[in-house]
Amino acid sequence: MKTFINIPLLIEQCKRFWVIPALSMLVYVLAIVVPMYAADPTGWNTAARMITMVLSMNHPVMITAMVLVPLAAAMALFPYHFNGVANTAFTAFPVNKKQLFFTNLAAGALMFIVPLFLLSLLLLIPITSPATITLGEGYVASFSHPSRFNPHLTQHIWGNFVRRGQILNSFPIVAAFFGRSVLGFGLYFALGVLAVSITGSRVIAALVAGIVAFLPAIVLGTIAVIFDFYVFGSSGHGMFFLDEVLYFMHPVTMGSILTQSWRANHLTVGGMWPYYLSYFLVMAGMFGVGAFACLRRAAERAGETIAFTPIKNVLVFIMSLAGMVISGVFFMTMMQGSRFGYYLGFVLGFVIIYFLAQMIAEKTFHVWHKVRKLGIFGGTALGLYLLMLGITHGAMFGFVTRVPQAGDIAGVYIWHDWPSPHNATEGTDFKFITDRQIIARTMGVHEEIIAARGNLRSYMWASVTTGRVPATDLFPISYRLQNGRTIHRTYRLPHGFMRSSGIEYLIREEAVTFSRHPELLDPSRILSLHMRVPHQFATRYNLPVPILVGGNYAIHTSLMEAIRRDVAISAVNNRRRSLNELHWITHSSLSIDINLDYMAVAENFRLEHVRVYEPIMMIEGTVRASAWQNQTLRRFLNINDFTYTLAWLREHYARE
Amino acid sequence: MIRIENLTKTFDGFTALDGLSLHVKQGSIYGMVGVNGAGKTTAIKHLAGLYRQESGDVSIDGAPVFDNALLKSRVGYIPDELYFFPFYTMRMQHNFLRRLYSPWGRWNEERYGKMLALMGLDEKRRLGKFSKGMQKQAAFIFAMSAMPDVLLLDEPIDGLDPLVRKVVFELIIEDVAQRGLTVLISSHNLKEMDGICDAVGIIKAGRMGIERDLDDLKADVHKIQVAFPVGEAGEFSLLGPDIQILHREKRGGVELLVVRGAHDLVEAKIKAMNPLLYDHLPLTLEEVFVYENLH
Repeated sequence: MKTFINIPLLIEQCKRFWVIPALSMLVYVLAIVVPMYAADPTGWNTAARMITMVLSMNHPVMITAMVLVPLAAAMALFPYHFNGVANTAFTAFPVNKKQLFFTNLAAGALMFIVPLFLLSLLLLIPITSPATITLGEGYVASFSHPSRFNPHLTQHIWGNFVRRGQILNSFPIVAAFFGRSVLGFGLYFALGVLAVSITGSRVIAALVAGIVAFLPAIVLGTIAVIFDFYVFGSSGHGMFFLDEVLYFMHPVTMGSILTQSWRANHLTVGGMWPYYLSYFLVMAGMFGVGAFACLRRAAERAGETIAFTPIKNVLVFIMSLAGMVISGVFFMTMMQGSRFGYYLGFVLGFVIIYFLAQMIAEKTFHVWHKVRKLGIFGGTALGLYLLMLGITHGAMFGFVTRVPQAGDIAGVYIWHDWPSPHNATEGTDFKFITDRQIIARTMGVHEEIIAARGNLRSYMWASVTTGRVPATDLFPISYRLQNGRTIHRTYRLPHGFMRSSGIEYLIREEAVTFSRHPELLDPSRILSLHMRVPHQFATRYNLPVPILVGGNYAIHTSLMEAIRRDVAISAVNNRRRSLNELHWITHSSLSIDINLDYMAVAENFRLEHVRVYEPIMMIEGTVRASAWQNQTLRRFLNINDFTYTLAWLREHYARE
Repeated sequence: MIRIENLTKTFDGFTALDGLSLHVKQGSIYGMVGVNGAGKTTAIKHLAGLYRQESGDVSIDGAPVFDNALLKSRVGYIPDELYFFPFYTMRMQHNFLRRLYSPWGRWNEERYGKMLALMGLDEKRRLGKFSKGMQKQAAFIFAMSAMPDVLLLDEPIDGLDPLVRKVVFELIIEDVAQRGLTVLISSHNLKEMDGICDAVGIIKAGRMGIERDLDDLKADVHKIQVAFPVGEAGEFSLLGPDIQILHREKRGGVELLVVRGAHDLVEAKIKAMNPLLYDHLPLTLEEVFVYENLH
């Protein structure tokens, strides 16, 4: 028979494990379908809200099922990889290895596809709840009943499937839900198949599945940490990309992040298709590797921890490396940042974890004979470490010491916190500063940082390892060159250095402040402003709290002019501040004696700190991302001197 | 029919089979014997299509066995450790195997019914609840109902009571006679194999030591009891290169010898020493195996 599927075996495997799809279906019905149809239409948890959660795959039951059901199916269908006796029986069937693999693959797929299909059919049934969802401008959802549901969640979910005013459980939307679900479940099934194909133990398979799911993020995170600590000028760079790696790797991470919604605007790719394509490619890749491993693994390896000796060695090496690093950091911290402690920890951690890993790999405590290979493993680890040191401690082809020539620079962008140009969009989140004086001062500061890199590196290590010195802040510098290219650097600097080098003053220049709020320069992009005046001023001047200003270009223009003036003054005020400053006089004729500590001054845009000490006007703007991009953003602005803004609000909104 | 040539297999540096060669004629019953760890099970697993060899050839009817679904449909394999689907009754397992083998045209439902009745097993009972012997019986029923052309049995009669053993062997012999079934048995129970096998292969340390038809094997090895007059002893070192002494034991005035060589030559040479007593005793397969391995 030259087919991929053995039908009698397929039927038998489906019959044997009917519990998995049956249980899934039961959970879906009890946790999703029944509550949705029985939901109180006037309550928070309306049927419409629930169906939105389900169809966007953000329901916790769906997310949990997407991980557990496929992994359980993979473990159940491939027992012959875990058990030598089962392996003998399965391999003796009149079925070749290819048929055995693909038949079990098909059985596993049916186990999650059938319940999803039935669930989709149930979701097509019209809901009796009168609550409906309509999608308005910019796909902002509005509900016919009160809801705390975050409307911005939907803007990244529906894509082109939804027209304005449509009820959500239409056929195209449910079909899209079914497709997305199959893709998500399929990816986790591929992950499970890959894990069982290279391991011979269910426990190890579960561990491998968990690690592989986050392997790209772990690798990137490791590289990011190396860059953060060893490459001067690249602090925090890699972390900017971790989100994207997680988004592109698998749908559960994306689902949980989207559920939080506060990072939704960090999705830099328009629409969902790139992510779905990524999931599909990841799934196909894992199925391919899993198939290859299943077909190549020897029957006599059934029950071994890892079925392939090279992979076993690699995993032992990786575990030993991880143990080396963790132990090195631990010992260094315990020994007050001592380098000797660092290297001592390296050696001890590597050796101990090496033997532990061998015990797990060989499933025995008697692994002392593996000491013969310790030299090779240790030598390789040492070689890698020295190579990393060699690469990162040099000038790295000019990366560390380069400051562009003044004539090459078209603009700069600097800040002392997020966002950095790595995770922000020019024109939307920030604008390059073209003021030549700011550019010159920035270059001067940059050169000063580079000149002090020896001390700064040591300081950074000490702050991380001993915790006895004040914390550091990230300081990104970006140059836009005349040829259109950009150069980015990010430094982790102690506050004292930021003060002494003039960075503290530089970042409070008016031009720098406005570079972070480009919408202040373009009122046409503002859709609405949500303003909260401090209570004592609202009471004194009989102003409502909060105030919503929206939908009028002329009003926006005059209000934004007032806000810009106050922002500039606030920036000046902040520049005047120093450690333990006691007086602050505003144009609002209010004198406040405040004992401010340095952290509140340095981070006066952190709302929770500043509210404790001084009145702040909070302005939340709903801004169109750009003139041509139909996407809304929420921007926050807090100003500590709001004389002109207050006057404008009194003129337009004070109640008699 | 079954052919293994220079088969080599290692497991993590341990050589389980070291150039093993084995030949089984069609319609014969071949007994594979060897001490523990000699490589019998490893060889059988190659024939069952489970293991891929590192070097050498493993074939049945000229076709390589590994991952050959067609060939595996013709091979019945009963391993030492049995596996049935968990929580399955005999009926459920039967239904599955019937569906699995029917597309190959191999399943004989009538035979299944007859064997089930003969062995008296309860089809509705879970296989996991069977005793070891009953599980072996069930495995036999399933294997024989698939009408194999080749039957591989690894320690087949462990756990079977004498009555069941008799029934099983009778069925096997009947199939060999009527259908030309080829059987390869690996067992330590040499007494039983003595009565059933046509040919024997003795495996030592992963290699074939001796492979012969059983009658020829016994014809070449002899157990001799000799006694000499008091004060005299036999000069067995003068027997010559054509006679090999596998075992020598003195019991009082009587010497017990196990020798390999032509019967007539052995008799002539020993009688030339003028013993008081010369007796040629029957030799069992077990004794042949023991003395060959002790040598």
